[in-house]
Amino acid sequence: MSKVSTTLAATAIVISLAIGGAYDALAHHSAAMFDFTKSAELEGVVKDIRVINPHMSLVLVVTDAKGPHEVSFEGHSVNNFYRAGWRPGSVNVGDKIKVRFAPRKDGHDGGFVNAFTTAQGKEIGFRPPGATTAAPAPAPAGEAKPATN
Amino acid sequence: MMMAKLLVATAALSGSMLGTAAAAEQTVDWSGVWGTYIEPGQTGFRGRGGLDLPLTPEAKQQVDAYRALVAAGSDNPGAHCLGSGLPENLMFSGGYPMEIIQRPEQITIVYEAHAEIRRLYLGEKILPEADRVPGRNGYSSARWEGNTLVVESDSLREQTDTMYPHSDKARLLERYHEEKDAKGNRVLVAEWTLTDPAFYTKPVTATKKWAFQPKGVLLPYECNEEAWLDHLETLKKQQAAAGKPKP
Repeated sequence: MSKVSTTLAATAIVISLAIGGAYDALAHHSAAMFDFTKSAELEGVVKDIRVINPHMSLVLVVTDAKGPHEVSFEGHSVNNFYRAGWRPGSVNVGDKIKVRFAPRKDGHDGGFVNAFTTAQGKEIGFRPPGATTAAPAPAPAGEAKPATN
Repeated sequence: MMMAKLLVATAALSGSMLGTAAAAEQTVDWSGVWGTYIEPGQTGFRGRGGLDLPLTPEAKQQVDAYRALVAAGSDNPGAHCLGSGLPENLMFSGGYPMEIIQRPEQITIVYEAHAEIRRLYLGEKILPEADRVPGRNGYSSARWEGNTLVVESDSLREQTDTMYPHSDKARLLERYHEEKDAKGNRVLVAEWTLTDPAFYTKPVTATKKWAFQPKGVLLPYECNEEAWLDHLETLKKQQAAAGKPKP
């Protein structure tokens, strides 16, 4: 196993043990549930982050008028994370980060992460390989999801 | 220089074990990494679009049943780490790049998404149809017509879970050639035709283009690790529930 694979495996194991129900609510879906014609931003504290294929999952604790509550997100693949500049340790549990995302079509909280700002202020934006513009990604149709599977 | 080397290698091989017309005719080299070509004015990868396919009534019924089953498009094979199969992967493949590894008797294509692999066999490597193992990528026989690579694929599994549904009788014809865009960049073009009288009232055709990425690399696409880790968690819970001590 390569160093990268080993690191990812270790990360996945550690995080999988910490994952709660909020993650399961969004697991294993295509991106058809997200509205890629819209973009929203949200700031919160990372409760869980799982950078895996086919897509990442992220749970933020957001504090707003409703008080502190958890919001679940999906996002791009490990491959797209690496191409966007993410490396293990870029985002950790407890970090305060900002995400830009395509919201869910059903109006519930959360969405598909198109970009985020790390606690260190690093901007990581996702775009499909070969694209000439940054996220948000173009609107897919059918069961499409941009540069993910 | 690259072409010269290839010609030398081809000549050496053709004089030895291969000796096929396919090897002798191979004068182009597409080895390397290719990404989806972005047309001038296009802002990025467009993803899978809605398709108006000429499905037969029976096929449409099957496809509609599949889509109803997966809750109106909220699920798909990729979300469960299964590759999309032909011809969706050559057309879409999540927007990820592909790598071509070219030898005179076999051309291997690796699509990064789900690490789907296709092997295109030439000349004496081509198996009789009865010996081909069916799969989501079928079996591909290839030949060179000048600088155009012609690929014929059969032995496909029936699939409704794809943007191009088809039966197991489907046949795919691909014709690849290389051209240059206005800036002189290498562009690989595939024009393909899907023929399947069981599913379509007429052949389905499309074109796909890739741009050569001189420094491109394919990244590993491990996908079912999550399912395995979840399985281990389940085993641990079962072990704990049964009161078995940990070794």
